[in-house]
Amino acid sequence: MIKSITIWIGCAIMFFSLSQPSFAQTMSFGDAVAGWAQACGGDVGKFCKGVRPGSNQMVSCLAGKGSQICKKATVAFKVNMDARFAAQAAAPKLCGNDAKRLCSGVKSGRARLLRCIMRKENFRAASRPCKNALQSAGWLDNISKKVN
Amino acid sequence: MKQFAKLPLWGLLGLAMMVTSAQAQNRVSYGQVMKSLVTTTGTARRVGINTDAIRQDIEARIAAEGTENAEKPSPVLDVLRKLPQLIVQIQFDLDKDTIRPESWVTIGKIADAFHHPLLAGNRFLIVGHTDARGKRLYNLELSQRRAFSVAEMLTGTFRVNPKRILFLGLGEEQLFNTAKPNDGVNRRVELINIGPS
Repeated sequence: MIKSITIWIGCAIMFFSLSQPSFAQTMSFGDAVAGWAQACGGDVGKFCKGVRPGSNQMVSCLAGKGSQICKKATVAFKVNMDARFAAQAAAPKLCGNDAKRLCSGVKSGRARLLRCIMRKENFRAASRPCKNALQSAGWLDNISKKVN
Repeated sequence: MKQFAKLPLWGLLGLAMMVTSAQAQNRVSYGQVMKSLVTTTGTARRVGINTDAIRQDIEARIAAEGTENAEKPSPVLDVLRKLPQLIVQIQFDLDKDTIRPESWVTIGKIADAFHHPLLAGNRFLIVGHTDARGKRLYNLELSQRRAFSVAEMLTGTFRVNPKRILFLGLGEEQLFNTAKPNDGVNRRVELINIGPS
């Protein structure tokens, strides 16, 4: 009996966490890569000298030869990158109705519509899911107060 | 873009900082990248740039002048000076095109800015510069490979659409401080907003 209750609670928690993926907080690319560089900087010098970081070889070099800490950081970096890109890709969809409602006069185009929604007067009237999506995408960080 | 019209000094701010402190370039902030690169005029203009032609022009100049240092900066890039831009310092391995780990964060912050809706519709020219030590042609070639390396990290690691990124090495042909041609301040990477895709 207790076991089955535990399983149900577990399922419920999983359901809620999966059903709200857009609220997941992700790191900026800058913060994420800073963590990666911190964990792997020494290994890059030791094992991957001459490998350009933007080439695919850097990840495979560190995954093969890096320390355990560096290997973990390499995976964590990639996981965060994927999550952040997913959040950024999801934002235009989650703001789709807001775009129709608030920015009907704006020419189509992903960036153009998002900029319109993020204008002060429109942002105030935007839906909660849309605001959350912009937040998760990282687009309200740091500079938002100044540009809006 | 009307709402950004009140920020005419952003681009200048970034440049002014570079002049006063070389140190600041190493610790560029995300907000600084954004402010420097967002177009301040109503609608951004699409700027046509042929990096191959610029490169050939400079190679021809080096061959024609035959001098150890450029006689004066190439006029070909004057149009670029007026565009929103930011200068950063990226640490590379000596005489190599590999970006050192301590500079990865700078590229990451630039990527954050390039993916922001304020800049997501724009293209960028990445320009690499060296100081005046060494041969002009060697520096031209090294800066070209380094500019590529920055572009590659933006498009590879940080998935910026390659269609939005042009890159160009200018070697020692456009020194930042012509009075001190060997100064570290000359070793820099410029990011220039060249308008909508």
